[in-house]
Amino acid sequence: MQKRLHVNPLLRERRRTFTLLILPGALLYSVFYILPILMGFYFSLMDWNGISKSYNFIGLDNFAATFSDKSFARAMGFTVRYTVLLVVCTVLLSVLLAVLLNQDIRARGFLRTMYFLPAVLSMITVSLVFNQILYRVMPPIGKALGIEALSVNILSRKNTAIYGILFVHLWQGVALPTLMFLAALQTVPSDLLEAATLDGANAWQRFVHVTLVYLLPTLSVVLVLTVKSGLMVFDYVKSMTDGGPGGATQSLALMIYNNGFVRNRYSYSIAQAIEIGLIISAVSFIQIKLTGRKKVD
Amino acid sequence: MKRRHPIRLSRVATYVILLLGLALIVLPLYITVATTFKTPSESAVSYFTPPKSLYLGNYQQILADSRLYTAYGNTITITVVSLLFSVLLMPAMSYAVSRGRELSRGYQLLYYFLLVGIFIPFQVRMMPLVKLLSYLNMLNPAGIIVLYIAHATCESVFLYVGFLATIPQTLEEAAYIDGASTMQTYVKVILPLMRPIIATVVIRECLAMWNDFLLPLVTLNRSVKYWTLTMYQYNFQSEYAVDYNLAFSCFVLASLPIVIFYFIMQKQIIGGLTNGAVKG
Amino acid sequence: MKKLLCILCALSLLLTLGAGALADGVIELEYLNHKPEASAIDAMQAIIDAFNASHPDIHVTQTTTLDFNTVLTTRAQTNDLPDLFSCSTSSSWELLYKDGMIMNLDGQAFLENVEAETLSLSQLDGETWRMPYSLSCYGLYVRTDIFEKLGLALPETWEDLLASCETLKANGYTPFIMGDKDMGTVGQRMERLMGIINPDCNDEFAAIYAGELDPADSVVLSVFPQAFIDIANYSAEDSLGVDNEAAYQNFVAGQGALMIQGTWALATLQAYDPELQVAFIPLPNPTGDVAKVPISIDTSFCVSVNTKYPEACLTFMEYMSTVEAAQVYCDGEGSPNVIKGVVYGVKEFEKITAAMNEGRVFVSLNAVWPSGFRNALRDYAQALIMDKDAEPFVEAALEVIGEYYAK
Repeated sequence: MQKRLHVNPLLRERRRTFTLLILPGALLYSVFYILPILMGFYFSLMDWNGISKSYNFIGLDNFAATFSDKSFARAMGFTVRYTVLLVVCTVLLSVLLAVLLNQDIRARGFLRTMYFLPAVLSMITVSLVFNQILYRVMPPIGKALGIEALSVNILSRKNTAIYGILFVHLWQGVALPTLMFLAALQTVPSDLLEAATLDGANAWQRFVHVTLVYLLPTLSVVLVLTVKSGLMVFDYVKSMTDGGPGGATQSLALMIYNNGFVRNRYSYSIAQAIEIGLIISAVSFIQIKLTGRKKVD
Repeated sequence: MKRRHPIRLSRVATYVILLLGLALIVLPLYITVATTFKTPSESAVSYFTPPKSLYLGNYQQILADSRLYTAYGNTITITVVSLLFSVLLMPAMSYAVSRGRELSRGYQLLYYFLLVGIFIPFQVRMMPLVKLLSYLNMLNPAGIIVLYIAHATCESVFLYVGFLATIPQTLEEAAYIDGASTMQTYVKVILPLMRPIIATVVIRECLAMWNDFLLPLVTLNRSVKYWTLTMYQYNFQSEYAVDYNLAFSCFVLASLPIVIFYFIMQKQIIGGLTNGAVKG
Repeated sequence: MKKLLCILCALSLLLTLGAGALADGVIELEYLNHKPEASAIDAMQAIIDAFNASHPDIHVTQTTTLDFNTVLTTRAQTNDLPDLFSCSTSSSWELLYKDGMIMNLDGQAFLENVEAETLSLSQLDGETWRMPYSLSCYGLYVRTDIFEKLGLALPETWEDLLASCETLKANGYTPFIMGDKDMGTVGQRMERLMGIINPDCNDEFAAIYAGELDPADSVVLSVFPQAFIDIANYSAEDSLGVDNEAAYQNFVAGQGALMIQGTWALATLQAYDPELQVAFIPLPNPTGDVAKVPISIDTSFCVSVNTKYPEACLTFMEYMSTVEAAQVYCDGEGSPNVIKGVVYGVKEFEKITAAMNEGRVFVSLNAVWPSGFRNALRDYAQALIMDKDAEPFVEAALEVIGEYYAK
């Protein structure tokens, strides 16, 4: 714990400066971030379709309607499944890559640069490029290899479309966590590792008993970021499948967008968005509480 | 930090896996770039073969499009100016909140208030935001800049405050004892210490803004003069859907600046991201 | 250093805020084009350039957009519609008129230049809120060379069509080339086909909602699902992974001989192959009744009520209604034009034009269905292609009807 500062006469000066430092940012945030959210809350209580001038107050009807909405449940199922896959793959891949990139190998700097490159491109560019690749380039390869599932555009089947989107998301999404784990790996004290080697531990045991602990704080950050990225996936789904085929890959974020802008159920979409926001907040809150406890001293 | 592995196999395995991954990254990029130098009929034959001769027609057509340069200009302006103001305002606010928490609970509540926006999906505020911006005549790049600054609050404050928690207050106390005002302490003592995390935040924000699609789509659609690079690329795809060699050229040209910038600054970028990440 | 940064900030803000200075006295009008195709945009630009040259006191600029739906909706919400804009037919835009955002054009002299029948079709309750300009039709593209090779005649009935499909399949072709990945395309096909089955589909659905018609007696709900499945059965297996552009390419490459699309597709097909041997015919009616051609007013022009220069806008509208301007649009964009005197002779559209002249047409359902209805139902149409199961579709349709006809 930090000590309290016992400088009472200067306290007022501190407070004044603090207020000055806080005011511009807080003001901008309140007006351009919080205010629209409040306005959104207001609209969620109406039956507005987004276009007409008139709408009526219907209270919490929109919120109640979501519980019997089959497509909402379906989008939820898809998004949760997608997120679980995303998190597991991201963590495993990025830890693996970080460990490998941390090895004493040649061209380490070059490899690191290249591995982060996908993250620099825009999601739109990447999805549009992969759209073409999955349609034109992959099927011939799949046919040549004799793999039936890959012989058609995997985005065209409802069971495989999720993997197409997932692949592209991972293609870009693994970069930053890899870098973060790499940095964390470098904080592991080498003397601890050497001591473990002397005690007869092999590479795997060293990893589990020594290194892992140092990765935990980073893991918690990566988890929060990846879960959020998975639960709110939009750009990739919109450009690659637009929720198809037949609504199989409609993520929650896309469903909200469609309801609001395409199907003219604007108020309903806001209600859905609010509910989802609450769920995400709850999940992240729990996550932070759980992983926050384990700290490295 | 060196690790010695007596088992040769794992060395080989390391290289194999890393090179496989590298191929996975490079191949789509290669296909993309190679396609831009081919004509549609050439592409129809094969995607993998290098272009027979460098067909420059695609690039010529795009470089002749004035909208490309407008998009460049807008994206650069928006990103740079937003970053400048963000760096000016956010660390300062975070410092005040972080240290202010000692003084009164009000600051802690303010901290939560500043974070509350993180999990609210964009769609909730998208339409009202557009309404608000239109009312204030801000549906143009200048307005978007203000918007991005506000939007950056949640994540930056979270990272900055987290970072500041790892800086002991002894340095500040020493400064006070020497008679420095709070402002001076902030600027001269704290700010330099925050460089790594500021670098992290700036890089993350820069990438996010440069590649942002949905927000510009709904706010800057007023005129072609306002388009950003992502809008330009997306529009290209739908206008010239017939010719994806052309479309790919558009993507390449639009991504080129940031890729070049990345290669030049890679040390700083990667360093910046990882430094801040460890502490944050 | 800090000072320099601040000055740079201020300068850059000023630069972005400073829109181009205008010459005094010139009226600036904004025209928003709803079409994404380059051909349409270029055609309009040519017309606008000619207009600006001949009207030095007015300057019209064309804005194009990626997502017309989103853009117009958000601009309408913020009371900031462009002075002039074009749109196709949708009840969403009718809503805008009902809310008083679009100018009433009743009595304008230039409307005399528009074919009277189309004009009355384009009105809402007898009020003119837009100037119709070009029509799109929807039907069946047939590769005449492939059909000739196989000795097939152009199909006139649904049975003929399915029989042709069998022959095509037996000869190694994929009968229907479909871009089923694109939601918009699927939704449109669903809506047009429902209209062909029963042009009064809207009344049917409204009656179902009101409880006056039993769903089991609904012509549309009994005939449509199977017809849609039939088409899917004769399409490529992975049609759901094929987007529009790829479908066009495959059709031109001769992978198949049939494509259900609209008049707008011809320009793209011919861009791939100017020598393409194709005919565009009415899509047969699955019920066996006479096949009517769905037409939709594809381009129509509107004036915003809040424009600062209503007279200038009307001057532009008048210019658009001249034969010269309309001919440019027609030649460039490719659709049949409804301004009197415009010469339109696309030989591939012979059969369709004949149907139109004989009055075998009806207005596409999108014009009368509730706003957002087609988009809400189209996901299930896509599922219909995927699962080939009629029941879930009918169930979903009833639910969607229940929701959208409530207003």
